[in-house]
Amino acid sequence: MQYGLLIVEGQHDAAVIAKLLSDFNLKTIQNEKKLASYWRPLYANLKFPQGGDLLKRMDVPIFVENNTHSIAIRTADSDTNIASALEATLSGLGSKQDQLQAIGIVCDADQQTASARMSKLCAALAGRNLTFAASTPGVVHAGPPRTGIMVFPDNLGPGTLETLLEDCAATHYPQLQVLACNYMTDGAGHLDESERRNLEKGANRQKATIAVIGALLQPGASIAVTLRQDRWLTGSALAQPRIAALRTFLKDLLDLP
Amino acid sequence: MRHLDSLTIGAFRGLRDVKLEGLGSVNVLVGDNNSGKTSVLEALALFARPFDDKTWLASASLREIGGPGFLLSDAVNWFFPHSAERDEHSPVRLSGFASGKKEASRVEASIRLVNATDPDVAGLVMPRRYVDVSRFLDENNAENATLGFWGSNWSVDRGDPEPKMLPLRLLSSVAHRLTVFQTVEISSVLQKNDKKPVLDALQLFDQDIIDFLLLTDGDGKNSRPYLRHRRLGPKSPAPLSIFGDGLRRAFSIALSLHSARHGLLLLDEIETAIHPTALTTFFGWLIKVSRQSKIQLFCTTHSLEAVDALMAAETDHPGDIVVHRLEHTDNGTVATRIRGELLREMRYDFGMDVR
Repeated sequence: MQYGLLIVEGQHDAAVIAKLLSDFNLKTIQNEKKLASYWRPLYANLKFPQGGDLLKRMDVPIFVENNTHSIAIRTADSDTNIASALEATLSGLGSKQDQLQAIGIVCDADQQTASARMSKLCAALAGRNLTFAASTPGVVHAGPPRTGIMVFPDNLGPGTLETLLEDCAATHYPQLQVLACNYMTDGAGHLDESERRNLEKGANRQKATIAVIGALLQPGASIAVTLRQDRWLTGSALAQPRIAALRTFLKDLLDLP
Repeated sequence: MRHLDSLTIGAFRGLRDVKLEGLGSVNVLVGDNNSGKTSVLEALALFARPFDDKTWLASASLREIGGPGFLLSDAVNWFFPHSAERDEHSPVRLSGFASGKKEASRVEASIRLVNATDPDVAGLVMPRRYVDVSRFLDENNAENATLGFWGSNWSVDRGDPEPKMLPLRLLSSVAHRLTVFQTVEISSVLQKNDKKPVLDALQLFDQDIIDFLLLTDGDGKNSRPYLRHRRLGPKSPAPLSIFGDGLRRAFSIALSLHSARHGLLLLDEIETAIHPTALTTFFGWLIKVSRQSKIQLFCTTHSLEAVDALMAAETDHPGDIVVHRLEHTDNGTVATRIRGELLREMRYDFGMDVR
């Protein structure tokens, strides 16, 4: 069995990656008895409330598995927590971390270039004595273990996961995307100054657009649900260059057939 | 307070080349059953006080309360790693850095079996085990002693003056039930008028305790600890043995702080007998008094509640707590260090088990 670990920023990143990995016959494991015992330290005896936050749900990684591969996708919750999430996860695995064949990080460039984002991330990792051999965004280092850092949207310029999801929307839901964008523009006129500033902050307008489409597809459900269950990451969307690059990164990193 | 920065257990019982680095003021040893946690405590004790017969005795009897079947010489023998092929015990090797020292000190001990005549019974040959101990403060400076063990007796032959050794107290998880062994410590506390920390600990569990004292039985042979209790009548002290386990454990630990001042306190299964809801308060007190008394604390535990309580108790200096997790691997036992800040992230931010 090949074990791999992915640290991602948020729940939507985890949902997108789990969905893409399902194309490689890696199924999300819900029943603990069916999961490789290797991962037990990551979910057994979890402490609640985490960070003292009574409203925060238990932070359990998404595990996907087939006959040859078992992958944990851990959410860091924010870009600044990625290094601590990796160190905590490796420490939790203890001596078993030596059995990891792949360790990857997936994060957003946000307003920076991918290389600037990666430099900051590598500095944060080095501050915790975690040396990451991969030095170029999107490129997998052979290892062992294989390592790589994927910086959304394209390992080059600024952007986030939502840039990729906009590509998916343009493929499968182009009319909904136009309507959602128009709604954003019209809706902004009904916001007060503070609400408008919030909408224009970072990738919030893109996030809202994706959320509007998602709400139509899966009313009352979270965006992660529509990403998993609808057409976003299927068919011709997989050929979109940024999605294809992410698939290639995962395939190389995790040594998938 | 750190007296030791690191300990390397080259060879001791089943442990080989186990490195405990970056020791903290409060060190928590975790790991599966039989991973070597108690062995680490014993190794620490012998490293800190290699020439002290009482420390050998305390370490040898940590796992087994002395009784009719207990053979001290046999218990000591098993400190020495056993080779199944040659059916012999090889030397103990320990090394470590004292805080602020640039050169490691080493302790080496070997054991030999001698058939000696029993002085009390003519013609009876009795096997004795002799332990030759050396401590190397540097390459050219060795101190030596020989300790003898036979049956449940022992002797010590060491140089004069006695080599400097760190004060130390090693407390088993059942020590609080052996009140007879506490009388020496109680006497010392009473003589030095150092009652307050012990009373503070007792009052964490029962505010009605006014005082503790040592009383001699009617025949004058044995002394036992008693407590004065408001509700039981302050004029009629009650024997400690009638009180609950948690209170007795706290009493035992509080007494051991007195002995460990300016040295090491080694607690096996720190949470024993103490209710989970009382752990944080008690550990807060323990850490505070340890800091005041310049004591470096080492404890073992299987309890996540105990780990969490130690973290919750040590909010002023979170970096002072270090967890050392012992794991069996194909290459022997490995100690993984989890520093205080990472421990907090693992437990508070990611909720993960650390044992």
